[in-house]
Amino acid sequence: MSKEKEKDQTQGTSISRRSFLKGVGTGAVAASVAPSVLIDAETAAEAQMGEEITRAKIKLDINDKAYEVEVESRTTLLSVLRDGFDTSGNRVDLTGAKPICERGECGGCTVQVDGKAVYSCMTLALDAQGKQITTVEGLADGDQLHPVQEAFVQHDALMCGFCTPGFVVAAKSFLDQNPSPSHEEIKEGLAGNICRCGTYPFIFEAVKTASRKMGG
Amino acid sequence: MAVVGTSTKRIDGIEKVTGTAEFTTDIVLPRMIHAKLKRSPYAHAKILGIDTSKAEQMPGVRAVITAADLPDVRLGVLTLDEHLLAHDKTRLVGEPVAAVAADTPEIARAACEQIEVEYEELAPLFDPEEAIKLDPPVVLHEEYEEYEKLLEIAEMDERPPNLWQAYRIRHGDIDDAFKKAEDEGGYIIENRYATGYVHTACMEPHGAVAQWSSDGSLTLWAGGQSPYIARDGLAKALDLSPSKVRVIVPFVGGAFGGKLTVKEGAIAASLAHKAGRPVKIILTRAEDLAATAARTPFIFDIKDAVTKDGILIGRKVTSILWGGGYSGEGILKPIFSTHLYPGSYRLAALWVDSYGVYTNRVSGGALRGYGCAESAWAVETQMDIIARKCDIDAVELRINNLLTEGERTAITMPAHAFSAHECLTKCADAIEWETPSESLESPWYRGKGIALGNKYSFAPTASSTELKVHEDASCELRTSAVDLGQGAYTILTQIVADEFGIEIDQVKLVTPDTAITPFDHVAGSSRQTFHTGNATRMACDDAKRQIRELAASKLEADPDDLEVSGGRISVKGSSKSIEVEDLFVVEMLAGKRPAVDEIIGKATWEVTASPHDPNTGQGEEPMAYMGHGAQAAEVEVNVETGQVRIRRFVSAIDVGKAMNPQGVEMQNYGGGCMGIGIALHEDMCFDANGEMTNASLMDYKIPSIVEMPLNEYMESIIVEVPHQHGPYGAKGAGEIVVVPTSPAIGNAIYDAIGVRIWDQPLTPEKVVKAWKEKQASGNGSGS
Repeated sequence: MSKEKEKDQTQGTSISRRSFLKGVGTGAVAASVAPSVLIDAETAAEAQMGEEITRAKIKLDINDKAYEVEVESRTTLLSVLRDGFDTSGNRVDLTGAKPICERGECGGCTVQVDGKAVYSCMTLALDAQGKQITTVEGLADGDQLHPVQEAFVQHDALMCGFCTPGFVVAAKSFLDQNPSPSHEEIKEGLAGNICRCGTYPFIFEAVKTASRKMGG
Repeated sequence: MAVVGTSTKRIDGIEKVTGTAEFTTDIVLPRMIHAKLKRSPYAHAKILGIDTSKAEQMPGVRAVITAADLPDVRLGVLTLDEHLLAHDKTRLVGEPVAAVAADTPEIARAACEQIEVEYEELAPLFDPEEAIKLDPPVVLHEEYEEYEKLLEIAEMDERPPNLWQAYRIRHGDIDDAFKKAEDEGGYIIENRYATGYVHTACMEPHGAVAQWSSDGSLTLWAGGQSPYIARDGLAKALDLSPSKVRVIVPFVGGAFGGKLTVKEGAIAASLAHKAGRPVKIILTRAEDLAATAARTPFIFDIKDAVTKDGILIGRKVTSILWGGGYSGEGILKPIFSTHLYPGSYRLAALWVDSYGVYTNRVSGGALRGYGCAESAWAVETQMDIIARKCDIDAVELRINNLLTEGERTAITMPAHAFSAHECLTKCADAIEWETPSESLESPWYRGKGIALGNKYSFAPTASSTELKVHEDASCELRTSAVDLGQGAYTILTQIVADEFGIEIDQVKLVTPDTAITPFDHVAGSSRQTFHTGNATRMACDDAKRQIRELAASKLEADPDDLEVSGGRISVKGSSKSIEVEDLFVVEMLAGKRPAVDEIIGKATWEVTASPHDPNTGQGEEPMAYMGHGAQAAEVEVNVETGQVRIRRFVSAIDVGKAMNPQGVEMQNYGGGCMGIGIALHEDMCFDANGEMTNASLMDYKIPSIVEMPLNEYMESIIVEVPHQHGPYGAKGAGEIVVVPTSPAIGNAIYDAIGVRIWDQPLTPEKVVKAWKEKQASGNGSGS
């Protein structure tokens, strides 16, 4: 994608490729050279304090609903889902995706973007424009759970439940791409998510059951 | 019994798979602002001054606090040695020294960076063996003698200045045991073991939301293990009456011992008070890993006297718990870890000196197994070594040393519902213990290992519940027991459904909220099914008694002749019956009320215990119950890379009565999973300044789905030896499942490649090193 095109996609924006990169880059640099692990990526904000932060209005298609939101160049998709407001001042309020590590290490914030599982903490909101975003809240059809959700409940493939939304979306996305996986493929396909309660054996079972239900 | 004992689906499963379950981090209140902590970069330093003026002037900053804004009280579990915000000194990297509340977390973070703290660096102390000296190079708590202490420690001629816990066991004649072993051709086997730094690494980081009301009362939402411990802690920290504090527990994203207190919550509350707005605090992953309490290491020196036939006749142990800057929730670990020295075995003589010391690292906290999981590493590796020394099969050797039902252990705990033998033999059968592992092509080797374990559940303790019966015969259970993922809410619901003969969906649970739900001690020490289960059953009985009394006149029968089931009250042996609804007869304008009073059953289940003499470790029955379990592993070891793969894993635990077999199975697997991580790769690392260097989920490696054996190679065995005091005979399952895991794996590695690694975790580097040493010396490095 060319610089000009990216610029065009943000509506009436003052954002430039330069500030976009700066916003992202600052976080990465701060995280790697910070004197202490206790100073997290949010130190990025420090570098930006006192400097006008450019914002842009963008449109996002989340669970088949159109949202117009105002974001900074560095705003992640996870942050929009959980803490964002639309331009009418209403909360997006999709808190199913969980902030567990916020740096792409755990899969707790997994959502689907154009059918592909992504870590929403590592996806910039700007990059999700024009794409179809599905969160855990968008899987069930009214009261009818998605077969993956049903299978997780049936096999008790969860304990505390904090990693569960991410696992459910990851499993759904995996089965979309590989409808009848082998054991080894399930392991590989879900290796990007972690569960401290150690529910993995039941997650295996749930994925196998969901695969059958989905006709895999 | 229609529901108890059946695999009932988790009652909160749908909320959890649809993302609607609300955790602390999901809570948003009107006008809510966000808090961040300013933390010490030094492991040991004097605080000379704090200048918050720049931070206070930043746009969006609503409140900044330091210790000067808080009541000058020291907090702690049993030794009160810690301020909410560092007072005069900091004693570990990451100790909070100030806090900011601002409109966004980013502004709060940036404002923390603008707070200037003047420190005078002091020499840090990291080595526990230096710390325990009578003349240590550094003293962490100069004012220790003035601290309030709620627990007596063992008498000492002179207390080492960094020591906060001392506990002794003096049982039998230990000198005689060693003499006998020497004189009669037996063995004296002496080894040193160590455990590593492990973090609970809950998926949900620590956090809280605090809000004040205009009447000066505080409400705190925090996903902790005990709303009442949290309430009392907040009250003490903020100098409030406990009645002014309300703690609500939303869904909890894992705890494992790491969420017993709510320090962050108290800081958020103080900020909320100053800012006049609700405040949310959520720790980052790095803060959570590096600066909240961890399972800190133990060092065990263990010396056993064994007859030539492999009978253990004496054991002497000296252990040091490598504590951190504060005693914290680790305060009882030097005591509870001693429970495993006799464990399930008969010991004529047991002599233990167990200590806990301060060092300038992260404070010691609780983590699933509370000391027992650590001492099992030493004891059950030792049993394997003894078996090999005596040339007796490791299962047989253990069986030969087991207690029998009704005997008392060397720490005076009666062996009741004693299932060690059954757990061990079922586990051995499942892993085909008699059949040696197949040989693999070099550099891979295969081997099997087994270990036994116990977990005691503490006492004194109590749980209360209330049970309200509604006019549609549905029941509402009010409990402060917390579901941390272990399935407590489902099990309690099952009990109510069972006692009233109603469906699961006719039971509503009112979850922990100190304004509504009665006292429950804590979701810890594997106590929820046992204690809250009993209280729930008793509250059901109380409610049914009230129903029978209300129904007696209507049915013209004696209350004792009535039974309540399925929403109906019937006269035993007769067809006469009425509906529960018929008791709700008084018609009012647009409503009904119960004929006499609301039907609310109430009950408290309490287990008392007399504390043991800290100088002898002897006394009356010290615990609520004793859990048993055995685990076995078959491993594959690559001697070139040091990789250890778990090929097969078996976990056999005794739960007395499996209230929800699927839930027990999940504990078996989930505990095994955590145990595998602790045994093989979980390791908090620190630099020379005492700061954790791997505080991320990428570098602090908890098991993923990749490390787990495939399902057909995992086996969960449920043993049911009913406990006389357990509800339906049940005992807890939450902790015993991680106790034998490490030694089972370590023993399997020895079986595979003939080397012992004495300190956890058993990382590839250590495996390769031990293997090379063995090759160089031409024999095994151990045994």
